[in-house]
Amino acid sequence: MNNTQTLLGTLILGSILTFGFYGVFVNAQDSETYVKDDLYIEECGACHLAYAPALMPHQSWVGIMQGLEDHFGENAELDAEGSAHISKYLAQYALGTGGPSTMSQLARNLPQNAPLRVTEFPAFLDAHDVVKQQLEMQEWPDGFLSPCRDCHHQAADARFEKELLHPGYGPSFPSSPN
Amino acid sequence: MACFGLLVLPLVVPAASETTRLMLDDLARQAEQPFTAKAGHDIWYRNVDGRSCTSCHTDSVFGEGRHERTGKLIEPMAPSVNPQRLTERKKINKWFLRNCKWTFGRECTAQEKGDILVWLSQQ
Repeated sequence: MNNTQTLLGTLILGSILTFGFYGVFVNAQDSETYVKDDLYIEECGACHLAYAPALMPHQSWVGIMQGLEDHFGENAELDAEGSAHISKYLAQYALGTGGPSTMSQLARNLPQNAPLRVTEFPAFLDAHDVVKQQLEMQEWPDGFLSPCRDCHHQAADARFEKELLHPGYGPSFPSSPN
Repeated sequence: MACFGLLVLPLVVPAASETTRLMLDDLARQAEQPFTAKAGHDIWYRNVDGRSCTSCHTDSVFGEGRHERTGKLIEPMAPSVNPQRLTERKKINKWFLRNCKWTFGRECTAQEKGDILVWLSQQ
């Protein structure tokens, strides 16, 4: 084997290893891939964070879409066209439709009749219990956990990993926008 | 030259004014009185059971507003500082529907919408 062959072999092996690992990395990322929808962001993101569809199961989103005239006390009506488009998007990417991710854990212990707020999901409450302890609170004030972005700065990209939490994180409700 | 000037003039009218003008034409057909900025101003600051346009848009349409419940920032309403405002008919209608219902508990009349548009477009 001459030097050229050795070099070639090294390059090929190196490429396999590199792209092999890269493949694993990309696959790991795939489960977190977040498909955004412009209309959803415009319509729902006008008043609050455009919550990622994978935060709630399809059933919860159906409940949300059916009650937009009284959306937790607000009027959030959509025209028929917009409503149909957004319903389809939510159905396509709802909790349970994708691979494992930080968000998919929310399906744990979820009752048949899932709440319309992710902040009421058992797994969500479990995951945030540590925050409650840190803040020495007995109960969560209404809406306290709704502005995800206060602590999860990449919430708009559907990234909720603990590792991404802002150092020294803490809610700044109610003065800070979500 | 005068002819040329007249032809060019409509093209430089800002989009906000054009959209507003078209909407006002339609609304005028459903309203009984001429629209006035004074009436629009009064509706904007009208308080009904503790709710007003200013609940979220604040006392100044030139500054940022804040959603009363979620705290989300709302861009200024005045076209003079936010040229995006009043440029999209669909958007204007959507927010009239949602926000009149939230603020006044009912849809706004054509008269009210026209008055608000006249006042707001001058800000």
